[in-house]
This record gives sequence, C-alpha cells and structure tokens, in this order.
Amino acid sequence: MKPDMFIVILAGVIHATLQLGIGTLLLLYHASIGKHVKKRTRELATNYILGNGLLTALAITAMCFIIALLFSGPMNPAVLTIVAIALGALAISVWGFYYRWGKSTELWLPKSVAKFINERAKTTNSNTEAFSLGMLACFAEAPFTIILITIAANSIISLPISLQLLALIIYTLLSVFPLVILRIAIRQGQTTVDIQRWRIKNKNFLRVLSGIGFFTLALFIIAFKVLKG
Amino acid sequence: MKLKRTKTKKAERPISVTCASIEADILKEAKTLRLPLSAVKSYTKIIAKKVITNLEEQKYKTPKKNDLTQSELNSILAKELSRYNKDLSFVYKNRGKII
Repeated sequence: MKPDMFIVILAGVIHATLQLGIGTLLLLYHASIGKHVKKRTRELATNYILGNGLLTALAITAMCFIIALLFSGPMNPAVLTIVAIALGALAISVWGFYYRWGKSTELWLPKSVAKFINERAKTTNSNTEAFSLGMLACFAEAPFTIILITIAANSIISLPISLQLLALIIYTLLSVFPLVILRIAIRQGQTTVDIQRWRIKNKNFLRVLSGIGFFTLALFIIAFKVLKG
Repeated sequence: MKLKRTKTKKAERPISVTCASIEADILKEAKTLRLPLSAVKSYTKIIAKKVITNLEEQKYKTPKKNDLTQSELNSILAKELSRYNKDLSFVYKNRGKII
C-alpha cells in the first residue's frame, strides 16, 4: 500500500510543477482585474480552479476504468516498464523544450494554441467561461500529464477500496495547489507582474524540479513495481 | 531603433495606431496594475505623441514603411515606458509571453 500512496502523491506533486495552468490563471487575473470588481475576479478564479480540478479528477477516474478494463486490475510489469521509459523521456523533454528559449515563460505549446488560450482568458466574463478555461488549460497540458494520470490511476487501483477515493482527492488537490497559492498571493496584494517576475526568475529551478520529479517517479516505479513485482 | 522581425510561417499583420489607442491601452494596463491613473495619464500622452511622431517620421526602421505589428509596438512601448514605470514596461515586454 505504501509505495502506491507515495506514487500518487509524487505524481500529484510533479503535476503541480507544470506551468500551463498557472500561466493561464495569471492571464485570467491580468485580464479580469482591470475589467471587473474584485469579487467578480475572485469568482472567476475560483471557477477556473474548480474546472481544472474537476477535469483532473475525471481524467484519473476514466483512466482507472480503462486500466481495470484492459488489464483486469493493475498494469503488469512489462507495461509499467514502458510507462517508466515514457516518464524518463518526459523528464528529458521537460529539461529540453518544456519552456521555449529566451527570458520568458513561453511554453512548448504551438503558437496558435497559446494565442487561443490567451484570447479566451482575455474575453472570459462569466463563471461558465472561467470553468471551461480551467478545463481547457488542464486538457492542453495533457501530453505531459497523461502519463502521470496513468501512473496515479494504476496505483489507485492497487490500493484498498477504502483508500481509493482518498488517493484521488489527494492527487487532485496537489495538482491544483499552485493555483490556490496563486489565488491567495493575489488576494494578499501581490500583482500579476510580481508573480510573473518570480516565474521568470525561477524558471530554470522549476524546469529542473519537474524533470527530476519525472525521473524519480520512473526510478521508483522500476524499483518498487517492476523489479519487486 | 531597428526592429527585428522573427521569421514565422504566418507573418503578423500590421496594425494601425493612433495617439488615442496607445493612451487607452497604456491606461488599461495601468488600471490592471492598480497604478494611480492621474500620474500615468501625464506620461501616457507624452509617450503616445512621441511614438506617433516617430512613426510618421519613419524613425523606426521597420522592414516596410509605416508598417508596424503589435509585437513591434509592444517593444517600442516597453522601451519608452521603462523611463517612467518599470512594471508597465515589464507588462509590455512580456505581452503574449506568459504561456
């Protein structure tokens, strides 16, 4: 049970280090603060976070179902080895091209997708739109999060039934934790400029942290699930 | 000031700028940053007038005459605003570069 819970927590922490959700929320704040009163901006941010969290939880639940359907239980060591290799490849990808080169926090996304998200964030005026934007940001990050969600779902299936819901909630909360921190920081008086400056200053640290996280998770799966299994 | 255009598959469309549009844009960003608007208005007019005058005199060496894209305008405004307010300058420098 312990390795499985640790895998879920580690996967959630790695998910939290990814930057698209935070960047989109920052864009939403920047666009909204000038247009709406504070209460309205807070409501939009809350709905954004709920949308993001809900899609993450739904994705894990769906993946649990798919894994149970395909493998009649947790994945076998051969498949886990492939997943661990994919995690290693993602670690290299994060170090290499998660961020575009230059002194900004531009991500790997195609320009058209980034522009679309930008435009959506600027024109978000209702709670429904903010909720959808949260789901869109979560979905756009899928190339990097799908493996994490798969790993977490596999571990959740391996847990006793009494702990499965708790593990799902823990992963979801960990994945939206940075968004909550950002919301609190802005509520405390930080501006979007302060936060963006922080992101640019710590870009390399975040990149290294994400990559090390992916790598650690891959090694952990090989050690505790593949070799031990 | 020579402006470097990055090569992209789809070239950025040039935009038409006026004093009023530049002022409105800067004031909108200042409102977002919760800056005192009375102070911002004083230098916004100066900057807008300077940019339009330079554009008319073709002082910005754009590849095509009187042809200014949004990102070029952002970099010009970032440079002009750096003398008055670092935060506003930062906003223009990082426009479209958050994600």
